[in-house]
Amino acid sequence: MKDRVLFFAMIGVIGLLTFIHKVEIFLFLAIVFIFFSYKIAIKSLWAILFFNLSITLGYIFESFFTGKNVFDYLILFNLRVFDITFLVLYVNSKINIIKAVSFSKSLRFLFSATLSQIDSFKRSFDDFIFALKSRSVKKLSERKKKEFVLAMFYFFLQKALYNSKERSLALKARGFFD
Amino acid sequence: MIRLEDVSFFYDDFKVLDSVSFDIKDKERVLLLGNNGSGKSTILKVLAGLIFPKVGRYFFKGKKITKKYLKTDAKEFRKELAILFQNPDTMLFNQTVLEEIKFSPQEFGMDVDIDKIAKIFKIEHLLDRSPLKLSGGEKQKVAFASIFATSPKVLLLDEPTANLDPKSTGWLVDFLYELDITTIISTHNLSLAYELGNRAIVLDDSHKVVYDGKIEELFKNKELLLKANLVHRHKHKLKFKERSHFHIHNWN
Repeated sequence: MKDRVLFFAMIGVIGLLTFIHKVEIFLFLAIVFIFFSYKIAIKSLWAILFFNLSITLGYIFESFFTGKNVFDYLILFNLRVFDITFLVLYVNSKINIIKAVSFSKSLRFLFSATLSQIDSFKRSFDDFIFALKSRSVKKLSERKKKEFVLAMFYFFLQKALYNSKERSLALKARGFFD
Repeated sequence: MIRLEDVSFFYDDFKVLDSVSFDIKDKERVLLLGNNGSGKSTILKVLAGLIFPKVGRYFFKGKKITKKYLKTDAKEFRKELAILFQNPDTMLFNQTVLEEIKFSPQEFGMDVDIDKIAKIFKIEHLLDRSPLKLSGGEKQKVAFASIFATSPKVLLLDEPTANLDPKSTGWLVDFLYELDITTIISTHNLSLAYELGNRAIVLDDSHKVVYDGKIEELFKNKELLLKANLVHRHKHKLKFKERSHFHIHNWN
């Protein structure tokens, strides 16, 4: 029950945050969050770094041509994404998400399938990096880098195709669809 | 040669190794035994210098292995200590098997006799093929050949028989038997334990070492094997009478 309450409280707060447009509130929340859990704050920063950076740079680039002042919007956008990401990561560390959505058979399946896929892909990705690290000491040449990325892409594509085929057959066998 | 002192390791808050300590001498053949998730693969990654103990210390040839140490001496360390991953797919990325075998020796600035390596691993016919398009057993052999090409002093093998058919498993057991270097093999295949090593280190589900000694002695301790989840007990009907006895797990 605790998991479900926290999960829906999080969804509610996220919904609320999308209607607030005051930078001060997001800034206040961000400071509170950093003091609350420095570890999760750092994790949140890493999680949004690439996405936020690309959006921010895109807006700055556009502002050169349009002359629009995007500074206020970018501050609001970055703080909002940080606060929401922190909230999701924090709640996720406190609850069992599968339990939280256990009221719906489809949601439960969707979450458990997604989480197990993420876990298995992450493990394989780590092993790729570790295996390369154990066999090399120099920076890879451009050609080797390309081969490494392609092999990894090929592996994950095959794995995703195989897994989805197996999963749909398993679902079919258990009467989810015909 | 290898010493772990009270090593613990965590993934986030989840403990995967709890105060693990052992010494391994040069040319010893050690088996890491334990159920899935007991921490065998994590120990091998620590020994390979890929991850570092959160608590405790790891020494290789008397030198403390840390991130800082490997920043300057990675070449010497990685040349001597090779690791074979459980899933060979994660190790192969070159365009041909030939290039795959040449990769590490080139990285470490060593010469390699490709034909000799290919002959040892019986993969001469695969040299021009893409390693990505081979069968599971062939991939395992190519991955093994690729790490063996640097003539390592220590071999760390993570479930080396997992992808092999019975014939290739037989070949691997014979091959390892003839090797005169330190081998540390993680497995839950007890049926091969006698052939693969003479010392066993057993981890149980609490991620602690619960046994470190001769394999023969371990096999006499049925309760320990049961506790470490390496054997199971189940019922049989024999002449209309129900009996219960131990079975060795063998998932391969």
